[in-house]
Amino acid sequence: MRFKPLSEQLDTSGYRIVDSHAHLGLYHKFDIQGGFEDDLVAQMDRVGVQALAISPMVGLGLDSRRANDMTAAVLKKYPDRFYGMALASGNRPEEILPELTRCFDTLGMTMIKLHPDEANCPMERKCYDLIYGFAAERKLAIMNHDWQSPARLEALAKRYPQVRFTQAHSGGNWDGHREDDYFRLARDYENVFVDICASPIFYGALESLVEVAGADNILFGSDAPFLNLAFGVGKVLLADLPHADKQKIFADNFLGIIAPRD
Amino acid sequence: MELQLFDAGVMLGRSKMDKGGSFDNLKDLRAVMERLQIGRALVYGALAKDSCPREGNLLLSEMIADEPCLFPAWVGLPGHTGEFPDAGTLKKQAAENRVCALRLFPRQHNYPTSDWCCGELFGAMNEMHMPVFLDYGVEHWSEPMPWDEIYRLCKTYPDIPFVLVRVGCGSNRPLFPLLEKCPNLHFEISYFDANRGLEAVAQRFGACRMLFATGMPTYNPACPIAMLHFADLSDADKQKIAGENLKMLIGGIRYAL
Repeated sequence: MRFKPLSEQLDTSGYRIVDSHAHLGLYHKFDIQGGFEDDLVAQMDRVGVQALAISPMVGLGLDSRRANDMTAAVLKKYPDRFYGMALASGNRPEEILPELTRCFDTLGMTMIKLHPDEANCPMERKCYDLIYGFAAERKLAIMNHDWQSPARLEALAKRYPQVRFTQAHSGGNWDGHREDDYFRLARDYENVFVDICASPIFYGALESLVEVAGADNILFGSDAPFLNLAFGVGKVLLADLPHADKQKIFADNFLGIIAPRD
Repeated sequence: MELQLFDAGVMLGRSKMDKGGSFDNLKDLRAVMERLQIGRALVYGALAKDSCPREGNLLLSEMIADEPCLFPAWVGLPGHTGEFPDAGTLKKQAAENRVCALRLFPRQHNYPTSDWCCGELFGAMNEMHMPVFLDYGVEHWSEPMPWDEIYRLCKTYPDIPFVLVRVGCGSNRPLFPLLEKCPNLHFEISYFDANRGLEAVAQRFGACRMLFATGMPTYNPACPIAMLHFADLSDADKQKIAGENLKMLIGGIRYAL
């Protein structure tokens, strides 16, 4: 069998690519070269990515208001290239509802992002009920770095069918073999998704994930600039999957979950 | 431009299959190399890594003897226990088998790289100018690399081109000064998924310090291929990383001593 030249296999022009899981700025644990909006847009142009959904690194655990302001500035500067993920600190519960309201009423955010690990705010805490309630009222999507329990996510998916829940990373770090209840949830619940944003990335795992969870509830995410945008794109682009499945993963599924609900 | 890929890190032979895949035989490997147009590969044996280096190395060399695009990397051990050739014998066998690199797994194989344990082994490799791949079994960027040890090895054995395996996105802070201070240090990019990482290293230290590798069949080859293809580098620098650098290192080996 003859294969296309590698440069043709790596041609992204036949796809719409929208990154569901990206960030902005610098990180305390290691050096990031570039990492702000101009750098990200330059990379998106080179790789062929239309848009990124971002949450600034500084807001994942430290200062959500500062981060949301950064996102709002980027949305103004590049309105067609970014989606904003609203951040709210679980460690300061009194700030949650005012900040989320500001994010969606004034700053033009699209969805909510949680990061209980960076915030050191475990998912058992009651403060998250405020966020679920807000998302349910406005029919929003929530991406979580880690729901910290498939049972918790399943209960939420049942209780809030109007909210779309994403378990980040689990489809990406997966070794291709281990049984994972998040995949069962993605397969069984219309409002549960897994993203493939990851480091490391195992051989054949994405193809296996599509078999296990189905292509309809898998989201492409790169984690850029925490990780390398092209590194993440390559995983889908060169996967041994039909074009239609790749397109769903690259953008269509994500655009579906952030689409406005009546 | 088409990248001329020479993969510096492929494992061949039946593997555990606990993570990722396995190239049980040459046919499995050839199929992937053909699809992704990886023209050449430096391969080490799964049996050598996960069971017995001596037996696995010889089996690997046998398996690929008639494969002009596959080059053997032997898995090494210090030779004091009798389970691996002593340094003199290793040099002779490496020359006979045209071994192109030594790959060490100090953590998995439970030995220190200190001179009192590995001095003879590194001494022989230093004489041969043999590339030595240091594989500390890093799976995730948050796992530590023994940076002080790497610095010491580079300084003690300046004629060994050392190649660090699975340098992750979180490595710039120790990696950059090491590259600056140790001209014989290289690293393979299978896991170097840092934002603008290839560009930063090429600009500061030259593209000659990086080798393309996939980490197959444990890790996904598509990621480093795409990262290199889309990098903001000149075509010349991309080709260096893609394969020319590894070819240069192999070309520098002194088999006849």
